[in-house]
Amino acid sequence: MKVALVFPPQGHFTQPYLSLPTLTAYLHQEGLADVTQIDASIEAYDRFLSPERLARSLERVRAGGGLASLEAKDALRYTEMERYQALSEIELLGDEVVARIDEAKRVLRGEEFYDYERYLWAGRTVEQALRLFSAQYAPSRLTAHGFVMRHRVERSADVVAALDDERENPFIEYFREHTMPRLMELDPDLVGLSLTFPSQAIPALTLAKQIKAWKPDVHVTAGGGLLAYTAEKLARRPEVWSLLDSMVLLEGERPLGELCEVVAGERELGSVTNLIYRDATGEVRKTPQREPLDIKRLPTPEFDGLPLDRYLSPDLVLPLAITRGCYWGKCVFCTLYTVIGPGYRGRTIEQAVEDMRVLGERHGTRSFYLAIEDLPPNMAKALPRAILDAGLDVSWWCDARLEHDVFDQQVCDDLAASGCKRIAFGYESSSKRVLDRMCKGIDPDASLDLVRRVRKAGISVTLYVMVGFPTETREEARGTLDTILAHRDLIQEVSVRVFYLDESSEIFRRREEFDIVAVHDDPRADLQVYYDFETGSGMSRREARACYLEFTEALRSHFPVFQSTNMLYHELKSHYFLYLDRHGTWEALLENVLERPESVDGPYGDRPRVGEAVRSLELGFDRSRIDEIVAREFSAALRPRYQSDLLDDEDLERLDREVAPLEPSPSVLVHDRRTGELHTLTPAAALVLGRCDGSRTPEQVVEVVPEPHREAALACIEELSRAKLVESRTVETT
Amino acid sequence: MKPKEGKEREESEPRPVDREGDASASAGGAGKKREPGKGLDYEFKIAPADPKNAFDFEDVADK
Repeated sequence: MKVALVFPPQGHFTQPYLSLPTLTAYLHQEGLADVTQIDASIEAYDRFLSPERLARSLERVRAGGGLASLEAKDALRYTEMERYQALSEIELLGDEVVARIDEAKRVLRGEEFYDYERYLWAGRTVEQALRLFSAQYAPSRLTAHGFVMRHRVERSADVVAALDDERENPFIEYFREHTMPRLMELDPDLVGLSLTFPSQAIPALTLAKQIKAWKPDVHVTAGGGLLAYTAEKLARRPEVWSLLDSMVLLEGERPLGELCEVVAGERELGSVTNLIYRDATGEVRKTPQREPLDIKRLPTPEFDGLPLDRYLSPDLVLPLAITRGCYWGKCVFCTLYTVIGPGYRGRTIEQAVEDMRVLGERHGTRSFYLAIEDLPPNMAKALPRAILDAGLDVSWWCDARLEHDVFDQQVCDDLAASGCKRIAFGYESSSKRVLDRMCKGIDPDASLDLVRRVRKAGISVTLYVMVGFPTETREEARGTLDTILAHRDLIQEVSVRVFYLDESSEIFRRREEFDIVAVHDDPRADLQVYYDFETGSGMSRREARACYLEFTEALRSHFPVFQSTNMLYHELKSHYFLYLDRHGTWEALLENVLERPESVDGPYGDRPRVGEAVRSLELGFDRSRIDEIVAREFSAALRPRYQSDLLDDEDLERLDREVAPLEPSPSVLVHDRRTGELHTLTPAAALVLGRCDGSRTPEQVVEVVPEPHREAALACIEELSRAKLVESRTVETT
Repeated sequence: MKPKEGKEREESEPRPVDREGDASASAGGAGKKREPGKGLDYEFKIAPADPKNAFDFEDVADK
C-alpha cells in the first residue's frame, strides 16, 4: 500500500506544518502503509523563488507592455493604480530580484540570517520576488502569508472556475511541471491532501483535478482543519466529487488508517468513521463520528522525507502538539474546540519530553513550537522540571491562557530555565465587562500582574487582542489600547484582530444574547464561514475596523518589533523566536538589534553622495499618492479577511466608479540595492539626490534651488541620509 | 530562461543616480508629461514605497 500525503500550497515558508508528520507516524506505527510526504507548499515557494522561474515572470510581465500603456493615460482609475504600483516596482528592480533571489534565500537559510541588515535585505527581496511572480498572474497574489485570487474561496462556483483559469492560477502549471511527475513516479494507491488554511483550497483542488485526470481510480481524500468548517458545504457541489473520493472530518489518523484498509479491499468505504463520501448511487453520505484517538497512544511525529533544508529559516523550528483541544473551551468567539477533537487531551509529561528529545536528535535541532491551544496548568508546572531533569538543551514557545493562579513567579522562572522564550496569551480586552461577555474567565488587572511575572523571568510576552466584539464600545476598545501602551515595557508583541462572526461559534448560536440584530447572508457564498452582522449596541463594523487601524498605528509607533520594517513580526512563524533565542533575552535583542545605533555615523558628512547601490525610475504619476489611495481603500473594505482578502470584481468596479481618477504628476521611484528598500521621491527631492555626487557641500547641492526653498532642500538631504539613500564618507559598507 | 539581455534592455534599465539632470531612467511616457525645468514645485518629499510598510496585522494572525 503506497500513500502520498500532500500539504498543498499555501502555508508559511518558515517551518514545516505538523499534519503530514503526524499522519505519517500513525500509519507507520499501525503498519498500514508506505508513506511519502510532499510539502508542495515549500516546494512551490522554492521553485517560484528561483532565478529561472522569476525570469520567466519578468519576461511575461514586460512583454505585456503594461507600464508604458498606463503611462500614456491621461488619468488612472483605481484598478490601474494597483497595477501601476506593481509594474513600476518591477520595472525598477525586476532584474535585480532575478539576479539575487538565490542570495536572499541563502541569507535566510544560513548564519547571515542573524545579521539584521542582511536579514532585512533578504526579506525584502523575497517579498519583491513574490510580487514579481504574482504580477504574472494578476490580480492573483501570492505572499508569505497567503494566496488569493479574484475567485473567492467562499463561493464554490468561484473555486470550480479557478481550477481551469490558467491565466490567473499559477498552480495549474506548477503542479503539471513539478508535483504530478513525482506522483506519477510514485504511483500511490491513496493520496491524502491536508488543508489547514483557506489559501490552500483552490491549489488543493487544482492538484486533485490533475491527479484524477492522470489516474481516475486512485482514491483521493482531503482532510484537515479547513474541512472541519467547510466539508459539508463543499460536498453539495457535484463537481467536487469528480476531484475527491472522500473528505475526512476532524482528526485524521483513524479515518486515514481505515481508508488504507478500504483501498486494500479490506473494508467498505461506508464503514470509515468521520467521513463524507458519495456512494455508487451518487448520494452524498456522512458516516458516524467516533471519539478521537487517545493521543497518549500516538507516536512521535515523523518529519523524515520533508525537504527540511528548504524552509526559509536558518534553524529548524519543529512544531509539536503535546495536547489537542482546549482545556478551557468556554470562550464564546472561539471555534477551535469545536473543530479539533472534540475534547481536550494531552500527552504525558514524559512523552512530551521524549518527543522533544527524539526529534532534537533525529533532526539536529533544539527549537520547538508547541502547536497547542494553550499550555495546561499541569504542564506549565511540571514540564519545565521534566525538561531540565532530562538534561535537554531546548528552546521553545507556545500559547497559554492567562491563568492567574498557575503562573506564579516560581513557575515563570522554571519555564524560562527550561528554554521557554516566548508565550502568547489571549488577553483580548482590558474591559472586565467585555471579558465576562466573552467567557474568558480572566481578570484584566490580574492578567497584567501575571505578565509582569513572565517578563521578570525573561520570557517574551505576546498578547492577542480582539477589537469589535459585539457590544464593545469605542471607549472600551480605546481603554484596551491605553492599557497596552501604558504597559508596553512588559509586552513585546501584540497580535490584534477584528472580531468576525463565525457560524461554528457559541456566539453565533446565541447571537440574540449579544445584541446581534442582523446577520447578512451572501447567497452566492455557499462556503462562507464568517458573516457580516449588525449589533444594536456598541461599535458598528466600520467603527471596529477604524478602531483596529488605530490600534495598528499605535503599535507601529510604540513597539520596537513593529517599528521601521516590521520584518521580524512579518515572519511571525519563527523568525522573531529565532532572534530571541540567539540573543538570549528580549533586552539583549533590543540592545543588539532593534535599537542599536545606525551604522552610518553622523548625518552625511560634508560632501553628501548618493549611494552607489541606488537606482531610480522616473514616473509620470505620483507613486506616493497611489500608495496612499490604494492603502486607504483597501483598509476601508470590510471583509472577513481570513477567507479572502482580495477585493473582487464587484468591489473593484465600485472603486473604479467612486475613487477620483488620478491625473499625472511626476515622481521618482528609488530602490537601494544594498538594503532592498523602496522610496518614492518628489521631483524636487530627486533633483537634490541627483546633485549629491560627493563633490559638493550641502550648500552647493542646493544652490540651484530658489532661495525660499533652500532650507527645505537642506532638510531634504538630511532626510535622504536617514533613508540611507545618501551616504556619509565614513559609511560602513556591507 | 535567462533575463532578457542586450542593448535594448540595457537602455531602458534603471541607472545609478549619479549625474545631475540624468538622475533616473524613465518608465516611458513620463517625459512627455512634464517639460524640463517646469512644474517643479519644490516639494521635497520622501516616502517609503515598500508595501511592507502597510501590511495588515490580520494577514499574519493565523499562520
